[in-house]
Amino acid sequence: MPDSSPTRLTISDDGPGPPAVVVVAGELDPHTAPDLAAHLEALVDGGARSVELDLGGLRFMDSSGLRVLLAAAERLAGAGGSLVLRDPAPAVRRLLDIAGVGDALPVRQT
Amino acid sequence: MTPAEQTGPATVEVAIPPASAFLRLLRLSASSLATDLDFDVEDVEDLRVAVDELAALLVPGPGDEPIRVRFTVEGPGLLIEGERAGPPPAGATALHPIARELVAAFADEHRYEADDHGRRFLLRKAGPTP
Repeated sequence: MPDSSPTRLTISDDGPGPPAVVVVAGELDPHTAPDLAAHLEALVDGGARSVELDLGGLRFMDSSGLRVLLAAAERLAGAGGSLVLRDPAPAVRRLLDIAGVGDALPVRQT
Repeated sequence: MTPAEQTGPATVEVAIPPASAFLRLLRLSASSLATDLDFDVEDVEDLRVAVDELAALLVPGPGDEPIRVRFTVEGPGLLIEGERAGPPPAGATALHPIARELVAAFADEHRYEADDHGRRFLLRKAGPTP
């Protein structure tokens, strides 16, 4: 089964912060996007307000993944917080640029 | 023989169950063929996103009719046609605005149609210029 691979999407917390850093690696598509949405929801429910997503290992993202990021950014902004994307791969960066979401999803290159 | 060495039209057909878990197989097929056709890295990535977005439209809905996707080498480029039989569920008739923007940017031509008989898409991506 295609979804049996442990490397399909991995989500791990890298310190409570602030900012809370979440490392996202693998492929973010309609199958895996709900997992990231749930993770970010739980993080915000737990009180996180400044969140940084390390996307250096994200090999693929489509609009379903982008919508998860936008929803999380909107929720954090509504709570007085922010979401920052760290080190997206060129293909992901290109997708962000074409979608024109730079204001909502600022990128930080390290 | 690679797709690029094929003298006539070369066609590859892939059928997947109607579940989002299998979309990656379509992305893999598209990127494999595009790489063999010497698409540059950016065009391969663009094609993966475009195929994924259009094929995802065929996933929702009852029943287990497979999603059938045909990849045809057209000279240096690729024509990709997907279909799933059966009436679509309500709301599965259009790309999300963000997806529409991405597909428009990443494909040279695309179409999506749905009627009581099924859903189908067409995607065309030009290959490298000699």
